[in-house]
Amino acid sequence: MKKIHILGLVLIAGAIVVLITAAKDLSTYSTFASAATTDGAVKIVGTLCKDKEIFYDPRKDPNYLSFYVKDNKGAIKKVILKNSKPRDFEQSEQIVMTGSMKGDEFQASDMLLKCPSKYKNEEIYVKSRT
Amino acid sequence: MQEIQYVGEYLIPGRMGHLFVILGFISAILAAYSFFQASKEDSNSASWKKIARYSFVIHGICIFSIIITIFYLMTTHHYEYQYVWAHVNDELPKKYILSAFWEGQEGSFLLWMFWHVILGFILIKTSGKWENAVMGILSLVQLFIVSMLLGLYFYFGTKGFKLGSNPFELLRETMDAPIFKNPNYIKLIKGKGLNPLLQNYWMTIHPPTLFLGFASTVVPFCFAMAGMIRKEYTAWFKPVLPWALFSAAILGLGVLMGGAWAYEALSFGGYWAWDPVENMSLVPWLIMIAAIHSNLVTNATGYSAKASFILYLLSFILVLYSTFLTRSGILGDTSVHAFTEMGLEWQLVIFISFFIILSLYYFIKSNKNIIAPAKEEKIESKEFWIFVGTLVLVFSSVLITFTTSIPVFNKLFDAVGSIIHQDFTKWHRTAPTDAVAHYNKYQLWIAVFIGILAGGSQFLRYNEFNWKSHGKKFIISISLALLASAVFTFLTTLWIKLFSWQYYILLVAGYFALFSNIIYFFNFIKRNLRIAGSVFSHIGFGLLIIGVIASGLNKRHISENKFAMDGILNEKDAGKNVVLIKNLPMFMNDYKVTYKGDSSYNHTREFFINYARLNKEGKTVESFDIKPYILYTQDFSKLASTNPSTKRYLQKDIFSVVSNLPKEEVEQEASKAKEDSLKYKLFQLSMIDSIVTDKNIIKVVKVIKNPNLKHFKLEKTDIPLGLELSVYNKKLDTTFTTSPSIVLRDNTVYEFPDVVNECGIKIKLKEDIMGTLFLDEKGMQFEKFSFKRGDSINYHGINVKFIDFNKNVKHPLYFPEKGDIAVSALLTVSDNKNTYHVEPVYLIRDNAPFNIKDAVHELGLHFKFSAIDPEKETVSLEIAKSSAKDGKFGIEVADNYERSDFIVLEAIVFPGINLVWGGGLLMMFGLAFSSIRRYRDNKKFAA
Repeated sequence: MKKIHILGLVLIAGAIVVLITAAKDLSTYSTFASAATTDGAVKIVGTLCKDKEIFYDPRKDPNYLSFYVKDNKGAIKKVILKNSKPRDFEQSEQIVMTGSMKGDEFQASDMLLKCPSKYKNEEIYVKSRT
Repeated sequence: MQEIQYVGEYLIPGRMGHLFVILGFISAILAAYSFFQASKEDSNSASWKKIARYSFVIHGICIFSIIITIFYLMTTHHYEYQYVWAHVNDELPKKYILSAFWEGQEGSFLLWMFWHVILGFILIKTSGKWENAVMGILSLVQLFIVSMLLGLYFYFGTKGFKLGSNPFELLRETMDAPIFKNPNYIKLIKGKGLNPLLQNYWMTIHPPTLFLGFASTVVPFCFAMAGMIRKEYTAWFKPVLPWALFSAAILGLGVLMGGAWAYEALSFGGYWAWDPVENMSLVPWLIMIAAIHSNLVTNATGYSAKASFILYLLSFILVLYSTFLTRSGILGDTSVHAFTEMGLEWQLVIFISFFIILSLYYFIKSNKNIIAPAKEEKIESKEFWIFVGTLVLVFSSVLITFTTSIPVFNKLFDAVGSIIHQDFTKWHRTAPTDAVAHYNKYQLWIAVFIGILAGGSQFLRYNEFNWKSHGKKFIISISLALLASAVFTFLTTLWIKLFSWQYYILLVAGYFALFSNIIYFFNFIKRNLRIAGSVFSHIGFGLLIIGVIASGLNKRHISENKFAMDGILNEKDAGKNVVLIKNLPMFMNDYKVTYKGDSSYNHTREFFINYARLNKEGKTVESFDIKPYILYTQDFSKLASTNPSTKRYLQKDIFSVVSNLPKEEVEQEASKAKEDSLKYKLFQLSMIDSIVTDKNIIKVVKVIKNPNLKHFKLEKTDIPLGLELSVYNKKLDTTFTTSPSIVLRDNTVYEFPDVVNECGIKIKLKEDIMGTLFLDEKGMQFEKFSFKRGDSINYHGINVKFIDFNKNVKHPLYFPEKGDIAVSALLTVSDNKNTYHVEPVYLIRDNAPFNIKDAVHELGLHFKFSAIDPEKETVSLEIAKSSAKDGKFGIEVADNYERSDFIVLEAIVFPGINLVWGGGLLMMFGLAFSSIRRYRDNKKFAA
């Protein structure tokens, strides 16, 4: 066997090992219920409860946003994000949050919003005549 | 249903455009077919080649015509076309038409094809014997991309199938809205315009660069295919090299520009976030770099030929894969900037599958003919270590692609599940909880390896390495480079923190790449610039690594909660944002930061923020203003984007973005809600008395004729009026001024309230002030009196005395103009208790006499100065009495106004970020430099 082949095999073996460990990093979408029993950070996908309070008052604290999210199982929990309120937050269709449960609240460290597409379901602007 | 006859639609360009699409498709088929016929090199070859070239030129003309047609429709605002409507509006500045053009999927496909056509023309000119096969493959690629624009619908029974999306579709064909029942609908609609986030110059320069990068990967792919089609398995390695280097330089530049855009113009707070879209533009570049190195080995030694084939083929396949990921909507959950769906997922899958199968087929067929030298490469040879390097790059790409492809795996699980009727949802995965840490953890070691190899392998030689003659120099060079790296790593730690041992190793590796290549340049290639391309690129890589450690690892929010710095809160809980109240300085690290104000034009609102650095004595040693801005949506209903502003130093950047504003400044709805929550009370005020609310005392200072009305455009016949009021706040024991205004236009009153944020007060003028102050004489009976200086009369028990003339007229309603002759009469008016001063004005303007009355509103007395007799030195004064209320006017005061004169600021310091840009650019420069050199060498060699 050539050295290069041995090297190749070693690298392929290495690659498989690394990929398997890397795959462990991949997460699954959790729920509030299972987040409560997990130690580390989890990802939860859910929708914003638009009928409940969305609190952000920079006058009091520019790094405090609280709102309610309904997860995939239908559970509703209060979520706290210690950051500024993202734009178009109220319009979001889906929220993917990373964080953990603290008591009865979910503390999010990161959040990705899915907002309605620019191209779909949009009414046609009608010229306003003056 | 009756067909509606629409008025004003301009359908010819659309029909022409669609015709060009179809013609472009057919000519691509013809070009591909004829080039392949020509590549058989039989007796018909020459005529096939002629047909092929003509077809390709026609194809090119079609692509250009499609683009020109869309541009024409965009610049002339033909909103009956969906694509125009979706990306342009009347307000869009001309300079953004290009951006609007490639904002959509169809436009970016056209941009891609545009570059393919240009590259095709160059290849026809320059590729010689490779032309037929290379152009055949290129035409094949083109026909697949044009098919994305065909917009043809096929029906199999009840099932419809869409082939491509026609950019010339009419709006009314794509949407079902009641407005299209109106034959005159065109007059009623307006365009949606370019997403405000994309309205900056990056959107003009980044896509063409990136797409040229993507497009150019097709050339090495075509050459590799041509090599296999022509069964010339090695000859193509020389002509392809300049193309591959060019492609890597441009694609790399495109990726860098993407990072710079994210950093500079978008408020992502960084230049690289391992977002799927970013990853999938990086991976084809990494593979292209691996391919170039493999190609160099093949050229020098004959080894690695198979690897070179595979890597060049792969680079283009990965561009297609990247296209699929970003355009199929599959990334929707995981990326912040993917395109929206177009409904062409299957077409994209067929596109990519076709080229995978085609290249696999040819590669398997040619496999045994691609021969490497029988002798094994030596472990101390350059080719061995370069090969190791290419494997490391491939390894890096595999890891990045693996994690980025999670959504694809999920879809595959579903597909398998649906075939064997099982639910595989439990196999679904999503991106790691901390994606950045996940990628960094692995790519750090990749970068370490690359750093060492990019440095060390420069000192090795192809084929053999003679330890006896070169060993000493090798050892000395390596040791010298290591020593310098160690010293500089130490020096760097004085500047930035490294947090963990892994980063020490990475930093050493970065410096090692840098110093090895400097030594290589001076001691090995003896300062021969002509062959120094690799030196530039490898030094660039070293600098980039150092820059990433400095700016990425050491980026620091300076807009921290001050408690965090006092140790009250731990750092994790410290917020990233601070509230800055107007004119109230705040200390952030070394800087005193003051929000000084803002100004608006069109949809943009710019904020002026001053940073002042103080020394220990508290003296300002440095002061600068930054101007981050925000954009409002087209209808001003809400905030559309926040754009940062960056102060650049050589060694660091200070990045600032207005991350939020008071709610009422973000959304119109909140603004209305706030207005509704205000509790206005109506007060009667006159020019002289004050009103007292719970917290404040308000008094008139003066009348303002030309009030400052931010967005309001005054017309000639408008009558504006403002009052400057002083507001004394009891709690603060301070007096503020505020200037509410109104404008009278055609019997309509426009109110311009003003606020005193400090006092929490908002004040509106009521329209009766116009009547009161603008010479309302309704119901007044003026009596005329003649006065000499010093005369006094008794008017209904009130003493009126004419003191003197006053040429220095100061009357709240007198606004001097050039050429005026104005004089006022100083009068004292006394009843039993008080004495008042009034001065009615007599005025000659444009040869006509005027007078401006004055009044003692408390007594209801009004005075007019109606004539002067210079000879007798007498004046005519007219006096009238009216009820006291006439001198009063209403103002509405709300005492519960929450202050809105603040911004939420996020400020980050990025140390050493210029090393990232400088290093990145140097890498690409090195590639471009080598590309030119290799091209010249090839020409020389051919001649």
